[in-house]
Amino acid sequence: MAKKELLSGNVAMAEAAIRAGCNFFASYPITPQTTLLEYMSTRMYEVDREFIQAESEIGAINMVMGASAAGGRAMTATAGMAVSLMMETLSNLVAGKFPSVVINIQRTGAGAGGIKSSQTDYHYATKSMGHGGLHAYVLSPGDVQEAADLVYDAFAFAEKYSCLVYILTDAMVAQVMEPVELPPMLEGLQVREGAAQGNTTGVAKRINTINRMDLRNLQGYREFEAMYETWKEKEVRYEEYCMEDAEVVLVACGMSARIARGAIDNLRSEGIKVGLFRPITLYPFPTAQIRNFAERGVKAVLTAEVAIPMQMVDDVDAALMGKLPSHRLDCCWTNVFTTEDIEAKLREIAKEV
Amino acid sequence: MKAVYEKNPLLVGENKFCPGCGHSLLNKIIADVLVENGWADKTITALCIGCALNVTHYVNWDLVQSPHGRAAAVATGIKHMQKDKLVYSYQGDGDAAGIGLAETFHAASRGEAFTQIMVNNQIYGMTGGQSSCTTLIGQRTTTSGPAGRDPLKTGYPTKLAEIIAMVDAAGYVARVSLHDPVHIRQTKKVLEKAFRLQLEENKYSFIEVLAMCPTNFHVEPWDAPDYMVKNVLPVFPLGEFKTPDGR
Repeated sequence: MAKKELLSGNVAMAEAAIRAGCNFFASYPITPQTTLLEYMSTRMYEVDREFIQAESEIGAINMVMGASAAGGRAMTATAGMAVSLMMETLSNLVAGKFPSVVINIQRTGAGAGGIKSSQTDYHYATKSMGHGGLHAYVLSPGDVQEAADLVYDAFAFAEKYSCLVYILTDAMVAQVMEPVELPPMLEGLQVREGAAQGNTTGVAKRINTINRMDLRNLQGYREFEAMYETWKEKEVRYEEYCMEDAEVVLVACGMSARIARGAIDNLRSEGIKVGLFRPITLYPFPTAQIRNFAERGVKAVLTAEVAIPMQMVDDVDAALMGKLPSHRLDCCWTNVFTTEDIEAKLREIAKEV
Repeated sequence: MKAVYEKNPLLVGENKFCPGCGHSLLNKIIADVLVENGWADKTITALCIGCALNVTHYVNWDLVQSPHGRAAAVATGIKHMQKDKLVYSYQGDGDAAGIGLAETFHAASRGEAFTQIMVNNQIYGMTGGQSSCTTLIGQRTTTSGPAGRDPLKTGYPTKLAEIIAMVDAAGYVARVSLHDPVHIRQTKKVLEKAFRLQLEENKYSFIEVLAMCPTNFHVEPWDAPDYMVKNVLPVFPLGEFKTPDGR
């Protein structure tokens, strides 16, 4: 087994990206992403890759777009309101089928918000990637190891589907330090076909042009629709923890799931049948798996989120279709729920079922 | 019989520009520069939003369309991945000097090794003739009001070439014009010089091209050059504003 290192989520994601062949990184400083940016600023030069601290998030994401168009394995990382600055280009990246990776380290709330950890960008990331109603493949890491692993896999996935992979993490996972086993450095990666490298074949590559036929007719959008159906069938990811005979299931992702795990352990040690279901893909959401809870003997569901009003619970409710009681536990980023809070809520629900 | 003049083989598609439009002429010039220097198979263009979009199916080299105003950032990304290629952004004044000024300025400021071409026709052409930051004093547009641009209300035309020439890392900055054959030939020379400086010395260059928009100047195509001489050239002086080591 490879050596484990004690790393923050930010550094682990940065190093994992490099090992996955990321050869272009452009970004602009914003808390809580800065340590990722700082790490890349030295490490990318060490491995002879391209790093740019852009003039703005708008600049950064458009550099990513250019690099991707020219065959690069391109990534940016940002947080909170800065995602809003990128949104027009994120829509372009999706519509123009640019393989690319974006990390959003969620900070707090709407407007200027704050710098504490939250989960308030859920709807923003999952319902439509900017204008136009198309989607990115949205992943939620539950700890530092998984953050590294998901970023590592993101580049190959982005090239496989010519899509945007959007890592929706949070300030807690990004800043906490945990032991991580880093994946191996990939070598000998080839520039993918179809990239703009000069017209040597007689047929020019016209990338993302507004006159693209596939976005001027129904067929182009049907292809996106079909890809999302394929994702729902084949690319949904989730973790089940103590779910075998669970009667009360907690649905939580990211920082909420990390806090909740101890509550599940404590209640299980008392013989109370609780389990944790943790969506890893937020788009596509594990709808079918949650819809199946009732058939598996689950009697009640609790969704926990660091967001007011809660957001992911809408998808949980849509999946449950009213088949099971759906309970809610929210909290504000200024006073995040503890393992004990989640434990108490689960205990209360378990008494009722 | 010997052919003395042929259509440039890189101009493969339908020319969708209005009669007398500067874009049409400029793309022919660029195509000529690429063919004559053998650069066609190593060229990648970052296109913008605006009338320039009509280049998409007109020319036969690699193109990446950028969101409005961001062509300089997109070109930056392209060039970092394809360092041996000829990369240029092709933008209008609204794109490069208006909505995309930050991207333009900072690409120059970092000394990115690509060429930025800004076609300045003092108007938002594609959307039907609204004011631009480069619109002339007194020029009537669909958003200027009947008296035309009033400097007390909306200030003065943005002279971007002069501004970029003050940036330390900018290698070559020039303003050229398409209003007559002498200046068309000059434009071609300047573009060739900019591309060569990029390929041989990794220089950032900014070339502002004054162009006709007869449709929105509200003149006949054949009167547009005269309009430029009378109205545009006195406001936007031509010349090389910055050259590497004064070359």
